Formats: sequence, C-alpha cells, structure tokens
Amino acid sequence: MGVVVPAGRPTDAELARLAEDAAPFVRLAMVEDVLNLCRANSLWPITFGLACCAIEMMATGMAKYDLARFGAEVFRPSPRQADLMILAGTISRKMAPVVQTLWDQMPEPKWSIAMGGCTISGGPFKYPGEYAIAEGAEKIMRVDVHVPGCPPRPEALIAGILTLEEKIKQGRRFGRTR
Amino acid sequence: MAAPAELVRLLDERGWTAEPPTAHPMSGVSESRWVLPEHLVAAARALKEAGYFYESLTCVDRLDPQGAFELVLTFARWDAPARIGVRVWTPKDTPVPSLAGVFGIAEWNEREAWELFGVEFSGHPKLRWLLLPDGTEFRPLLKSFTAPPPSIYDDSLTAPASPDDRTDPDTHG
Amino acid sequence: MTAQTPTLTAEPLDTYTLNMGPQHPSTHGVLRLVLTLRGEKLVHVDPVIGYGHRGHEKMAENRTYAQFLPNTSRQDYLSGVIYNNAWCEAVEKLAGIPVPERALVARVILAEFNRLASHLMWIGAYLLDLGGWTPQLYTWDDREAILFLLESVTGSRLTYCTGRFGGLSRDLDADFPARARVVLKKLKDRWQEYEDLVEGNVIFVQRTRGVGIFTKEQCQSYGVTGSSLRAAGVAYDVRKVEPYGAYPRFQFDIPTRPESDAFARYWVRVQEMKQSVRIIEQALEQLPDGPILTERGLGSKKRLKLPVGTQYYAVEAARGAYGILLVSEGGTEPYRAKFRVPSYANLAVMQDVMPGYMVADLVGILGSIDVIIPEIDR
Repeated sequence: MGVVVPAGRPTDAELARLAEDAAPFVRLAMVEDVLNLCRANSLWPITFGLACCAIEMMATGMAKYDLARFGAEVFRPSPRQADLMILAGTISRKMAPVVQTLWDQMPEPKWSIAMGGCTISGGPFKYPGEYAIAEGAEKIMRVDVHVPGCPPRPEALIAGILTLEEKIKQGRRFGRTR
Repeated sequence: MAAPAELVRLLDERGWTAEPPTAHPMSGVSESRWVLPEHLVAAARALKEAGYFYESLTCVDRLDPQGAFELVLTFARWDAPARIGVRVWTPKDTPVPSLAGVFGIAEWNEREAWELFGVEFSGHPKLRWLLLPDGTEFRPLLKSFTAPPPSIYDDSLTAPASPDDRTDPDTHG
Repeated sequence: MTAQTPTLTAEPLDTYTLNMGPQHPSTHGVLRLVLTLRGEKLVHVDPVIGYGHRGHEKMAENRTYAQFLPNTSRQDYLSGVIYNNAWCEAVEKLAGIPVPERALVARVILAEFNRLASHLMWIGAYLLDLGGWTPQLYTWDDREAILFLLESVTGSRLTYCTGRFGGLSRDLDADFPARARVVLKKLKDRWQEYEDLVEGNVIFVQRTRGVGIFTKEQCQSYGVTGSSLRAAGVAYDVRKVEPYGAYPRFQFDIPTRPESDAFARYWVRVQEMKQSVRIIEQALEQLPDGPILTERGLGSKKRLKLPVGTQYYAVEAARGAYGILLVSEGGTEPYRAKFRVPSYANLAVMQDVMPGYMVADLVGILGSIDVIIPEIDR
C-alpha cells in the first residue's frame, strides 16, 4: 500500500497513520532537531580567557589540535556574537560579576563549558580561609559540560566540546536561562 | 658610592638607621638595615641617586605582640650584584611615609600593602584597592584573619545558584 | 557589579573616558584599562588589576613548603619551570640542601626550553594583536614541539611541577639530548623565516617603530626588568648579574637595543631565543651523570622545617626578574611568602608611558611588554 494523504485538515489519528505509512520513505524530523544539528556543529565560543586554562584553550584552536575540525573555531570577541562560553581559568571574586554580565549578554540559545578544576569547584585554590575566588562557576551561572584537569589537555577540551555537541543534538537544555 | 657597604655606612652616619626590634636575619641581600620611618624617604632618595631601583615591598605581620608592622623593601642595581634590604617597623596606627614621590612603582606596592594588611601611608596620592574588589572591608593577609564574610561565591551560603535547574533531569542529564 | 573608581583627573571637559576590558581580546587575560582620551589621544591610563587575584600569598602561609610547589607554576603559567625552580632554590638556600650537579644542569635545560616556549607564544600573540593571524600558527607549531619534549620529562604541558628540594623528581631520559637537538634544529631553521616574514613586514614595522618608548629614568622609577629593560639599552639580566644555579658555567650574551620601542622589544626577544638555544646546546654537552635528587632524603621529606630567616631569591624569568621573599619562623609552613613578579612593574610603567600616544597604538604598546595578568594579580 502507498501513502494516503488525507484531504483537508487531517485529524490526529490520520496524521499518526500518515507518519506510520511514510516512515519507510521519509524522516519527519522536527525543525528543532535540524536547528540543533546546525547549532551543534557550528559553535562560536567567546574569546575569553581567565588564567592558565586559556593557554590550553588557545592551543586547542591552533594548528596541531585544530578545533576547526569540530566547527567550534570561530572565537568571537563580543558576547553578542557568541553562543558558547568556555570558562578557562580561575574566576576571582572581582571577576565573577563580570563573567555573569558577559553570560547575560550572550543571546539564547547558549551553552557553557567549565574548563579546569577552578571553574568546577575552586580547584587548587580552595583552602580554609580562602577569600579571593568563586568556588566553581556553578555559583554564578549554569554550566553544561565540566572538563576536569589543571589545566585539561587540548584533547580533553575537544572531548568536552564533542560532549556538548551530543547534548545539543539531543535537544536537551535549550531556551532557558539559569 | 655605588657599593652597598658604602651606602649603608652613609645611612648609618646620617643617623637614619635604627636598632633591630627582632634578631631575625635577612639573607639573599648584600646589606640590610632597619631604617627609622621618618628617614625612609631620604634613604630612598639616596638609593635612587646611587642608581638603585625599587624591587619589592613586603609587609610581614610578625610584630603583632608589639602592635606593629614590619615592612621589608629591597632595592637592586642593574650593573652589579648589589641588593639592599631596607626594613622598617611602625606601630599599627601610625602611617609610614610614602615613597610614591620617589619611585613610581611604590604607589602600587603601597596600595597592595594597605589593602592586604591595613598599613597606612602618609603622602600617598590615593590609597585605593588594587587587587581586591572595591569596598573590601577585611585585610586578608593579617595573621588574625581567618575567613571572609559569607558570600554567594563560596560554600558558606549553601543554596545552589538555581535550584530549579539542578532538579531538572533534562537540564543536567 | 562593584563600581571601580577611575582616577579623576583635573582635565577640561573635552576629554572622555573609555573602558577597555577586563574582557578584551588584546588585554591578554583579564586586565582592565580606564582610558582618558582627548580625541584619539591618550591623556591618562589607569590600569585596574586584580581580576585574576587568587590569593597565592595567603595560600603559601597555609601550605607546607612542598605543598606549595604546584602553585608556583600557576603564577606565570608560561614560565612554570622557571618559577618552580625558583621556589625550590629559595627553599634549598634557606635550608642548606645540596643539589646534585646533574639536577642543576637539567634545571637550566628545562628552564631555557620553557623560556623558548614562552617567547614563541608571545610572538604569536603579539602579531595576532597587530592583526596577523598566520604567524601564530607557525610559532605555536614550534611551541608544541617544545611542549612535547618537556612533557616527556615532566608529565605536564603547561603547569610543570618537577622541582623538588634537592633536585628534580624525574630524570632526563637517555635519549633526551638527541630529541632535544632535533627540536633545536627545527627552531634554528625557523629564525630566518621569522625574520623574513615579520621584521620585513611593512605593517609590522610601521606599527611598532617609535611607539611605547621607555626612558631609563622611567625604568628605574618603576623597576622595569626583562626584555623590556634590555630593549631600553640596559644589559640587566639576573642570569648574568647575580648568576644562580648552573648559569655561570655557560657562555651567552645579553642582547640589548637602544631604541626602547615596541620593535626593539620584539627584536630583543627573538635574540634571547637564540641565546637560549645556545645555552641549551652547551648544557646538553655538559650534562653530567649521577643522581638527579639528593640522597640525603631532604628532598622527599614532607614536613621540611626551615631555620628562622628572611631569604630573598631572584631569578630571570621569561618576563624579567622574579623574586621570592621567604620568611620562615622555623615552622613547616612559610610565615610569609612574597612574590616580586616582573609583569607588575612592566605594566605599572604604562601609566607613565602611554599618555601622548594614539589609542590605536595602545594595543601595540601593551602587547609588546608581554604581561601575564594572573602573575600580576597573584
């Protein structure tokens, strides 16, 4: 039997049958899924380094590790043009409000990667009587992927970006701030 | 003039040096002297004229029992292995004369000593925060400092940044 | 957000204030500059620092001497080996721990490779600041070769922690000299390429010649050190003036240049790289056999107690003179540790140097001094 397209406005039952009939021939993807596929493969990170990890982030973008292979090499200086924030380095208490402002300035949909121990929990700089740092990026914003290391190797950052791409393609976490 | 030994002898002769309040030795320098705070600016000027540059300023909160701060300044030369350690002690509530008028870098170093320890400097252009956020009340490098006031940036206020995000399985899968 | 108070100057009303940073691609991290401009001319520059303040000095008072070792390479993460060695050497000096000959020479080799990596990174980043993307790919390629070599010895790419009190934790492999010579040859083949590509480039020369001139008086007043000072015609290098470690046994020159502009600073750094290669070649020749860590067991002692004393120890880092002032009261932890970082003075002098230049020159001047912000902020 072929695909019977109902005349006029179809009912839900007719639509369901139509989808079932067409399944061998066409893939009915939601526009959202297609968009997410595009977003996942063309991430634009913000040029924004905080400390040591920023050097490894730069190394990831350079010739040997070549982040361009995964479509995430277009580093943008302006938060308005970026959709990925790689938090590379220690967030000090003086810097925390600035990071928050930058995050708020990025348009939706947006994602973030916490790179290195400092943005995960305060890392090596957490000790009794510590007064200078924000103990983890989660204290100030939402984080999608954590990449451990001090600093993580470029391969680890690439793995983090690939994990994020998987996450975006699955349609998780989209359209909500904080 | 340039040799450290001659220079500190000059400081001694002019009566600018003081008796050490602690018998704490200093190594890694050619010569070191305790200088009276009121003669600090004159001593720095003499060092500058002799070709020394201002290398570092360290405040040590060691003389707390005496109610005083210890400042260690080092000066070095470009052409010879000569380093002079100048040490000053001052009661905690008495300002130290600022060297900002003699050496440009002293301005930053003194701002740092002020915000981290609370050392006051007289004659400084403006003592304002250098490394810490503006308006920070505590002096973190004092030995009496134990912990900063509770803030959203550490675990002292336990609530997570956004509770709804954390319980959403779709968000943190 | 806490408002920062810019320095209010008694300038007439034809000036305006422009904020640059802390998130700006040309501020090399998290530096903020509050600029006062008249038209396009800089009238006043007020650097606002502290956005990378992590409390290293407080942390030193909470850690034993050995526990603080990893912190040192996180202050200036581009010359981690040099800082790591400096901390070890300062403690060794105060405690009187002997260091085997092999470790002394190995430290020099690793430190000079680190200096090369740092300068290569700077060249790439500086030319990127001036608008050239391609040189960065070349210098980072060379840098990766050095990092690979260092990684085979230290186990890390960036934040090295191989130093121990009384030597190094790992020995150089038997084939290390051979692999090191391959890297050095690769670098030496690149010098001519850099000269042709960069120093002959009209845009680069026009943007760097005659801008950002430091006078010797300014250098003395602010304590400028490192390549920036040598580009001002002063042959000050801690490795020569106060030789430490194994440096006295190697032949090398201190390149200087009288112009003191941004181009001179570029030139001096490239020449310094050649000298570093020279030092490494000699060190590989003279590398003695023997243990890498002192056998007296002091190096691995977790609870090392230092005698009472105040020790100042200076080394030449990639950016200038790095000093550690270590105060010990006889305990297992430092009573106070102060770090005299080179970028601190090199950035502070900008307040004096910048006024008078055009705002377009600012990036060219700021980039030329090679600042590392987390080092300044500590």
